[in-house]
Amino acid sequence: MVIDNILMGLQNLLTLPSLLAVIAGTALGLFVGAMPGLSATMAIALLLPLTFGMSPATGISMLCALYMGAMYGGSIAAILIKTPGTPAAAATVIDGYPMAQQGKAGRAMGISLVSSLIGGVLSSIALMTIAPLLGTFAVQFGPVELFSVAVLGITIIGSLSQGSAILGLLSGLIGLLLSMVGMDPISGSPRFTFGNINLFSGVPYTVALIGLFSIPQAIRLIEKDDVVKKHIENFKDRMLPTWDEFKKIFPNTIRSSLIGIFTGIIPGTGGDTACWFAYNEAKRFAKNKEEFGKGSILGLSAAESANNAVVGGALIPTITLGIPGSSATAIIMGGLMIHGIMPGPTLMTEYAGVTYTLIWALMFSNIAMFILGLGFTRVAVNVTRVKNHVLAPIIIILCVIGSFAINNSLFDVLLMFIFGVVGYFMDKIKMPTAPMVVGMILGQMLDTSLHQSLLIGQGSWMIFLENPISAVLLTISLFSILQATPLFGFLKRKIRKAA
Amino acid sequence: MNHWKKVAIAAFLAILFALFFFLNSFNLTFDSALLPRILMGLIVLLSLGALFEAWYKEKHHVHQAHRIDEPDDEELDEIQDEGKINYRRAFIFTLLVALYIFLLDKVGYFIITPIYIIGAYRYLKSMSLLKSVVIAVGFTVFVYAVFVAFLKIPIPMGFLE
Repeated sequence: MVIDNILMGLQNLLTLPSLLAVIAGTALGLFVGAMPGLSATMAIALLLPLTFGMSPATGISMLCALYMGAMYGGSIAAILIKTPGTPAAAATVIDGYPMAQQGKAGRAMGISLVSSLIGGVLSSIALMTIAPLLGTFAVQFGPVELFSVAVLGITIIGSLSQGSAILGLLSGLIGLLLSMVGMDPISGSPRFTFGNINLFSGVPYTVALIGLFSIPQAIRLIEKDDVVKKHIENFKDRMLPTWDEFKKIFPNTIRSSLIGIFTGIIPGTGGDTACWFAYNEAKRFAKNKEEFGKGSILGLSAAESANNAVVGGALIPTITLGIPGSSATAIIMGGLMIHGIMPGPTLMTEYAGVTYTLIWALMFSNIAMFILGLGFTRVAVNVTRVKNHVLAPIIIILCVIGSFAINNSLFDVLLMFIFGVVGYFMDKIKMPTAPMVVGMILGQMLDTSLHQSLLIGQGSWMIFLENPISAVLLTISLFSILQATPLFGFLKRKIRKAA
Repeated sequence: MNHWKKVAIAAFLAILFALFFFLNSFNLTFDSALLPRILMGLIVLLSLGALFEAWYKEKHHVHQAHRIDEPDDEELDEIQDEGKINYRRAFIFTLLVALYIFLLDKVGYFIITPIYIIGAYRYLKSMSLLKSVVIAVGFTVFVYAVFVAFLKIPIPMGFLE
């Protein structure tokens, strides 16, 4: 059955529209990733409405290909102008920029490209092998387990977010409360709509997504003076690493890719976490640690393979459990939902065609990224010269038309703007926005599964602890909250003293 | 404004938000209001927790622990080349966006969008008038081609209707 689905997915992908979509998505990702000031998450949010006219498999494949392309694209500006094109390329700066200063910018790009290819391919293989296994397990989940999965998703993404775990969890809870707006799935009556007919179908979270991720970014681009970017010379040296360099970086890229896959699987952590994690491990295992920070190809390859490996890893919980592994996959989930496909345990069975096409698309996007990277990196260098003050109004008009196109509603545009302003202020107090989006996604599932579980348990909340899977998941949730509190540090110190 | 004051304002607004929803939950059935009320209670608790955390850090100048050896704020600032923030410009830009959205339905997307782009570029002084016009026309044509011609989405036409 799984083999049949894998072959069906490959067959669906090997059509001209799908292949063109993957290539276009990868190319767009490469150019968007190269632009400092634009993130993969924002680009996916803005591209999402463009996929409405495509089949679900083609549209979602294009979004995943963009994600993959942007992970490599971010290294271009990181290496050339010491400014990561995406947050996931932050660690690339440490050794990539010194290499460029030594006249080896092309070589740095080549190592980045090869490492990204290895990371991306390994994560696609992981997705193809782990997702069906997890899906087979998750399809047996009932309301009790689904409730606990939703609680786990929120607590992990809230407690592992950058900055304060309390603010992360608060953001998630606000998202959950916002998801309660609309028609109550149990009683069928309007809830928190304040008499506004536009809110009867709830707050569309894709609209919130576009607002939260794009508007604050556009405002951030103009809030500072547009400094003249350092003169960016195109590189002249060869890109591809030599065979000796490849042998040197290969074991490192395998280890970093595994780190990236594992980091991606954990909801709330993405390329920005994986690249530093892998970089630090690469330094730890290196024989010549003093090379790091001065143009070490091991440091560069670690960061780049990890951030591309995150893509497949983050898609694993997204498509099997309906819990986004990263902000970008939260938007991809939105794309699935807009096409009428519910992410979660049934995605691997009821919509196997779409799922396996997506998995193959991710695999192929690595090849497209490698070929396009070899051919167009020199062209993509030019986009790093685009001024921030030029980009910002363009982002706004794309946000407006994108949010309008979802439901042909001007009310959605207004909502998008409100979320955008809220998102800007959340940034200022360092309150992460990703948990809010995840809360809005998981809210309905949480509400419905809670009521169903209480019906099964005849009103008793103990049902969540009596069910072994639910009990384990809730214990992990509790642990993830506790580990973010000072109590955990206090207990660790006490245990160390006692030992 | 220091971080503690910002968090205090945010916590106050979050509590108001939860209270507002709470007051609107009285016309719901018990089952419909169950989860929302649990969430409202947790929001109030966490808001107070965030307030305490921010006050504690401010008072004790606690350095925030970072996950998995990620760089601290000073190193990130070096990497990302932070500069001075012009809040007035951010405010006016946001007002321009609000005005653009307000006039969308009345004036029409294909009239107000190029006006907005040209106005924004002139305000930001990011390029000459000629380039602004070229980009404004170019993007308007792009949006028409993709969203109207290809996706067949009915864009508000305003005066052009």
